[in-house]
Amino acid sequence: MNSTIIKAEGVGLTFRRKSERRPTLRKALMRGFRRAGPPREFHALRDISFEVGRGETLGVIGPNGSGKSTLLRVIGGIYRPDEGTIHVNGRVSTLLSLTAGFQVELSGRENIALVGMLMGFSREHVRSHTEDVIEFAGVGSFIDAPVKTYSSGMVARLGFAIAAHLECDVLLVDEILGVGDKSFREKSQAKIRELISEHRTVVLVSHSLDAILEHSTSVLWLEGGCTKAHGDPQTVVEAYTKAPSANIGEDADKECLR
Amino acid sequence: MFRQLRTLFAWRALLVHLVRADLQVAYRNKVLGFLWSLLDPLMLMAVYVLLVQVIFKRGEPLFPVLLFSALLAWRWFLYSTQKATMSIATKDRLIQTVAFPRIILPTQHVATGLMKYLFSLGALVPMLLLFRVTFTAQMLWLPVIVFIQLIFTLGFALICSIVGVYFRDLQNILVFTLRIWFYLSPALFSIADRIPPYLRPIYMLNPFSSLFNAYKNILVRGTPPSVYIWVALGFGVAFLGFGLWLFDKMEHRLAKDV
Repeated sequence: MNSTIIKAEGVGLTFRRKSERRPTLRKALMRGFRRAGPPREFHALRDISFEVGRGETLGVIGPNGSGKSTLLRVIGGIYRPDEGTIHVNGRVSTLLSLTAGFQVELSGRENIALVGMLMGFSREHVRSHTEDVIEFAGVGSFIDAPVKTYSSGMVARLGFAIAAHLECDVLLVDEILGVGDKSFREKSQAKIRELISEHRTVVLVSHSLDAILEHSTSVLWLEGGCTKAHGDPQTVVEAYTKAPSANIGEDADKECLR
Repeated sequence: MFRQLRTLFAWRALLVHLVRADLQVAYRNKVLGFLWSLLDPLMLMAVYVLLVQVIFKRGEPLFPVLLFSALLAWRWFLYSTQKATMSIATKDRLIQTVAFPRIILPTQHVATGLMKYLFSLGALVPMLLLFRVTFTAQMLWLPVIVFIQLIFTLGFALICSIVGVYFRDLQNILVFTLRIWFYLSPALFSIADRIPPYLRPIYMLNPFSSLFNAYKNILVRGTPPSVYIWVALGFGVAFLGFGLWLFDKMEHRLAKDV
């Protein structure tokens, strides 16, 4: 039963700096397509290794910009690691964070269908779960209104409802547990507990250490794209709270301390 | 290369869903929306008729209907390539949220363009009747010609959608390039009138030379397409092959680079 669902081995991911991108075709033609110098690189993740078994929850903590969301995108198959490998056994939910990829001009109902099908589910599967999603999201009559008329809380709730109800093997949760009002927070926490009890695998990114402690079976502490600590939730969270707050960005591009 | 085609086939339900949503938005106001899709090319044709026949006193007896048969096909190409060029570049949120096959995005616009083209043929039939064009068996060529244009358009759109991610000014450059391309192609004039025979082997290398000529021949003149149509097919296969190869090479980088 406790088979490995996610296995990351030495995952590294490199971005080119923003300023290096977006050249125009006009400039490129004038330069004759030569590079304007070596690209400045930014290591978003370095040598990340972990395993998550079926029914386990990995909590990911760390300061802003430490690579948590990037790691979720690697697990979700959105970024391909530049180094190392990642194997995910099963269907991964979309990463619907606060800034979800909804088409704001479409209605909530149309977005459920669209996102569900983009995740690779059949139209029938999505349709048979639509009412559950609507009910859980609690957006009421807004479901047939364009998403651009939604409050940010409603968008987040709809996003979580889609990810939680379409029966994925792996659920990626990015900072959702701190969103919405008290009753929705409790509802989403209960839903995660339910999914875990159904032996679904969850990767949870949160600044809420209480939520991390409550749900996680292991915790990964990232800092500057490096693994600072990994293991027992209690131990890692304790070390994290005691650590002096890191200067984000300052040490982001240094080599990882071993 | 064929991997991308297989992906498109496997995800055809999503493609149908997206095209249907596009058409719903375009024809939201059902009667008026559909009427506009017919009136729009008719009015554009009226402008050219005014320009060519009334102001410059040029053009052949069947000029309006000859022009119209080429104009409809060009509008498909124009719509598809212009939409496809920004199709990946502007969907950064979606691409960084869901790991769906990116090739869906440009293909969607080529398919929507095709559907709109087929609808607009509804305006061509009354035109043919009005100009007392005889309906001949040559019209049975239409699916073949449409297929050749489909292959070429898809290939061109795939390439543009990738290049559009890296060079944001491609859209502006395309507007002018496409306009010049249209004026150089035999839509507003016929090859027999304006292109000297010794130039024709070179002139017919433009896929739209043989495509426009083929539409005019089979729909209005009642003659078969010229043999050069197979050159257009050759270009179509080459562009599509290159486009698919480009997607294979670049797909995993798009999420980082948009």
